Amino acid sequence: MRFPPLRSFPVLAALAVLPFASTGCIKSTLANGQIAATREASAAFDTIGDYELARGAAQAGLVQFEGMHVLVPDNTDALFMLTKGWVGYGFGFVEDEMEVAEDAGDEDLADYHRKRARMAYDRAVFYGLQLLDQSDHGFEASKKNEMTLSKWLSDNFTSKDDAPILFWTGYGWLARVNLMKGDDTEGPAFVADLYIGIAMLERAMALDPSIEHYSGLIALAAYHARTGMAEMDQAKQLLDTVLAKTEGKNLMVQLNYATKYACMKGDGALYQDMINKVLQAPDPDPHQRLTNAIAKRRAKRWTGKRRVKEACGIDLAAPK
Amino acid sequence: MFRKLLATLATVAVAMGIAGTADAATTLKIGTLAPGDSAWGKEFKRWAKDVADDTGGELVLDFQWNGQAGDEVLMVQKIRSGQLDGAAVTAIGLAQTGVTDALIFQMPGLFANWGKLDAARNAMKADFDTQFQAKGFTILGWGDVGAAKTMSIGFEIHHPTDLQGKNCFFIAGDPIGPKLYAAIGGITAKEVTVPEILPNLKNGSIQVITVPPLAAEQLQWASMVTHINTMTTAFGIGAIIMSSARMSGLAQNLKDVLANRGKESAERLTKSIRNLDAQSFARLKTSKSAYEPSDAEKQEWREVFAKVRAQLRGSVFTPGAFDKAVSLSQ
Repeated sequence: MRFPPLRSFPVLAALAVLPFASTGCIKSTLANGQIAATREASAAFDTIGDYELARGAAQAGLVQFEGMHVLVPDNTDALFMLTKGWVGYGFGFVEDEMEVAEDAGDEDLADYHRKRARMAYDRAVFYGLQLLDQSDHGFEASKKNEMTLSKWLSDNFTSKDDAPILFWTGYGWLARVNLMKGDDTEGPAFVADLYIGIAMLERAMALDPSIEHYSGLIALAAYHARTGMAEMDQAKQLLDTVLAKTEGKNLMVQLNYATKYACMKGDGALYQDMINKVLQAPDPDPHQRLTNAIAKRRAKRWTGKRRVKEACGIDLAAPK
Repeated sequence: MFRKLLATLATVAVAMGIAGTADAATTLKIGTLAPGDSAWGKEFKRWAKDVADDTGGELVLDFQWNGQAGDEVLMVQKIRSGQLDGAAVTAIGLAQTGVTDALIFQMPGLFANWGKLDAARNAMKADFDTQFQAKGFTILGWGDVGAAKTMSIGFEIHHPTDLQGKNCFFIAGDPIGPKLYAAIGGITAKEVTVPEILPNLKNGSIQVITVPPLAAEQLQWASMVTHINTMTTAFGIGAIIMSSARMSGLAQNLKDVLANRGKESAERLTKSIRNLDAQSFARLKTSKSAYEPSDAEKQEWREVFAKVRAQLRGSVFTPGAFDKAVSLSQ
C-alpha cells in the first residue's frame, strides 16, 4: 500500500503562491509539474516504517492533492494519486482506528470510523472511475453483468500502464464492499456489485500481476475465500503463488492467509502459524516498510481471542 | 497481601468445584453457511446473546460460520453423530433429515404469495414437529430464503419449452427439480453442489437459474445473468434444526429459553430476509432485462407445475401431507 508523500516545503510554498499567480496558465503549469514530481517520488513513502508519521503525512498529502486537483481537474497523475491515496488512507489508517474501537467494544466510535472509511473509498472509486472514463465513457453501460464489463475492460485497457489505475479502483471497490457488507440496509446491494471490483482487479492482474508487490493477487485470493462455500482451493493456490513470488516479504500475504483463508476454513493451527509469521518477521523489505507495519498492527489485533472467535469460530485458547 | 488472599480463595473455590458460570455453561454448537456479519449472522448473534442473557450465561450458542462445519448435507450428518447440536439449513438440509415432506412448501406454483405459505406452514406445524421429532430433530423456527425467479444468460424464457436444449441444473438431493425438467422434456439437467454453480455459470455449463434474487446476488450468480422473468415460481424455505437428543438433555428452563428466543429470532429473520429479497428483486429488475410473462404463458407454467406436483404426490411426498398443503394453499 503506497501513499502520496508530504513534500512539505516545496509543496506548501507552491500552494501559497498559487492563489496569487497572475494567470490560470501559470497555476496549471506549476500544479502539473508538482503533481508529476510527487507521483514519481511517492515510492519513498513505502520506506517509512513509522506508522504515526505515515498517517499524518497521508492525511496532509490527501488534502494537498485535493487542492491541486481543483486547479487541474483533468490531470491524470492527480486523479491516480487521489484514487490510490484515498484507498490507502481508508484501509491503512481509518479501518485501523475502526478495529481499535471494535475491540474496545465502543460501537458508536467504530461506526463513526466506518463512515469515515466509507467516505474514503467513495472518493477513491469516484476519482478512479473519472480516470478510467478518460479512456472510454462506457463504464456505466458495461456494468450490467460480468460479461459486458469484462469485454469493456479488455477492449479499452490493453497496456501494462493501465494496470495501476485498474488495480487501485478495483481495490477501493472491494475494500468498500468488505467494509459495508454487514450493513443492514446497504450491505446486500454492495455485495451484489462485488463482481465489478473483481473484474477490474482481474484485468489489472492480466496486464501486470506484479504491481504493488502482487497485492492484486492477494485481494483476489481474499475474494475467493469470501465464504467457506466459495473457491477456497483457488484462494489457497493464489496465496501460495504470491507467498513464493514475494519470498514472504510482503506480510499482507501471511495476514490474509490467516484472516481470510484459515479463518474461513476454521483452521486454528494454520491461522496461528501465519499470524506468528507476520508478528515475528523483522524488517523483511525496506521498500515495503509501511505495508508491513500496517500488517503487523492488524496481525496483533487478530490475536484477540474474541475477535478471532467471532469472525472465524476459531478458539485460540484451545490446544492444537 | 489482599491480592494473594484473593488468589488463594479462587484456587480453593476451583478445587471445590464451585468455579464460575463459564465453567458450568452448556455450549450448543450450531452450524451455518452464513458469514457472521451477514443478515443471518447478525440475527444468530442476537439470538445467542439473548439466550446467554436470559440464562445468566448457563447456555451458550457457539455458531460455526461460513460453512466451517461443512455443507448442509454434512451438517445434518454431524447433528446425527453428535458432532453438531444444530444447524440453520435451507431445503437442501431439510431434505437430509428424512422429513422430505418439509419440501412440500417449496413445490413450484403451489403458493400465490408468502401469506398463503405462512398460513399453510402454521396450520401444519404440529404435524411437522412430530415428523421431525421422529427423525431425531427439533425445529426451533422456520425461515425463508426468498421468492424464486427464473434468470438466464442471453435469452428470455417465456414458455416452459423455452428451457429445452438449455443448460439447466439441480442441486444434489433436490427431489423436485429433476421432475420439473422431466415434465417439460428435452432438458438434460446437470446435478451440482452449490459451490459448483458459479464456475458453471462462468463457463456456460449452466445458462438458467431459478432462485430467489437475494441468493443470486449474494452468491454472485446474478453477475452472470442477463435476463429475469418476474414471475415467482416457488418459495425457498429453511429452518433452524436442533438435535432432539441434545435438546432433551437440557434443563427445562434452558430448553424454554432456547425455544422461545429461537422462535423470535426466526420470525425477525423471516421478516428481514423477505424484505431484502424484495429489494434485491427490485435491483435486478432495473439492472437486467426484465420481462413479465403473458397470462397465456403463465397458464402454461401453471399446467406444468400442476403436472409435476401430481407426480410428487405419493412418490416424494406422503399423500396426506401433500393433500393438506394443497388444500391450505387455495
